[in-house]
Amino acid sequence: METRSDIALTELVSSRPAEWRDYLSLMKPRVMTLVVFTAFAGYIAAPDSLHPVMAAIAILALAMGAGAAGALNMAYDADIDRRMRRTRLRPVPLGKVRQEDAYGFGIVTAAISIVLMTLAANLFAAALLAFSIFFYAVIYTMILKRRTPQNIVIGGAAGAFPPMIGWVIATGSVSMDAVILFAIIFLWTPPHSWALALYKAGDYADAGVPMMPVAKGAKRTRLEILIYSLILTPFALAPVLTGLGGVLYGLAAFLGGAVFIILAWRIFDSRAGEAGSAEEGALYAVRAGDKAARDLFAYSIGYLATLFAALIAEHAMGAYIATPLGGVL
Amino acid sequence: MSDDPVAGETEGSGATEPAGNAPTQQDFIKARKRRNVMIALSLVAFMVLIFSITAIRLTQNLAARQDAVMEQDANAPAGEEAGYDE
Repeated sequence: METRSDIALTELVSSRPAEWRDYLSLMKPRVMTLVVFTAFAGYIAAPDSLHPVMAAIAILALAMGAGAAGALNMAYDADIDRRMRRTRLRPVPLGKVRQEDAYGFGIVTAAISIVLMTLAANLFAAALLAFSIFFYAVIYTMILKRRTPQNIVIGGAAGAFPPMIGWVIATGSVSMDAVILFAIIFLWTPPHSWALALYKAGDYADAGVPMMPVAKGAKRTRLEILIYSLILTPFALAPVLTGLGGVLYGLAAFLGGAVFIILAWRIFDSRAGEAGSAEEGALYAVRAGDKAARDLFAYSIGYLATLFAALIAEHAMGAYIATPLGGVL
Repeated sequence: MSDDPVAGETEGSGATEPAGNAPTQQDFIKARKRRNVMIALSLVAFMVLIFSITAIRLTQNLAARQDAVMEQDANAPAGEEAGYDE
């Protein structure tokens, strides 16, 4: 429910003319940061490399592509964003950027990003980038999101492409290691997103988005979070088996995974997501019962960042230490 | 009738005077100018990127061709020189 101050803020902001910053926020800068980070990890972990300037332009193109997908997502979802507390201050629901302008901005930015990727890296990387934009904007946003509680499971593939594209930028091909990096993010997305959805279920229900807690209930969601966590955390050790990750990565994956499972168990053992929500509080405030969900949501971001930071550190600093299991697969 | 779409939005409305926190026509013009400056800078940045890519590709391709010619020369029988067909 909107408070008086929320309404006043909305009216004040929406009465202002659109600034370039509004177009920047259409691109979801925080998501772009994560995309650049994971793509760089994929690039630097690959056995080949490009001229540094070309690599930087390719990563920039990837960030632009992610931003374009974000803009198309915001353009299409303006109606439901308007109904959700978490998203109602976005530029399109506020009326600062017109929906058709957001579409135009997204399409032009996507086209430029694909051209840049083709010129700076290779056609395969550009094709993967084009497919990932299409997957996020059309398959996830327009088809899956409003139709199935599995939206985030299938749609999570879009967010998993960046490290694979980073790898393809460097090598021009896909390998087992690139697929493993893709799969880590793919498996990470459901517990991460459902943890958020658990304590924002009211928001999604108001908007009519069938996220797992809305469509199947909190209990089922807590179980699914635990199951995905039990699959993700051992799988995150796969790079150690293939030799992609060394001791540092192995430690991060093992210890980080243990904490991940503990937090997932705490959610499973809690009443997170049950009846009611924290809509009256601050944007990310939670009821005591939802704290476990909030903890896993916050931790999962750090967990993924740590895994990829460990990969980057090992490969960038040349301090890669082969493990006894290195290269087994 | 003005060609200025911003001016057109407020023509006849008398909305050129500030009313409390309401944005004025000047605010819209300034915002549009800032957006235009960003578009111009983006276009310049795009040109710089394309120029950089072209320069690096040319350099790499010239170096590769030079290496290929030198290798061909090294492998050629004594007395013969590798070159391009005329």
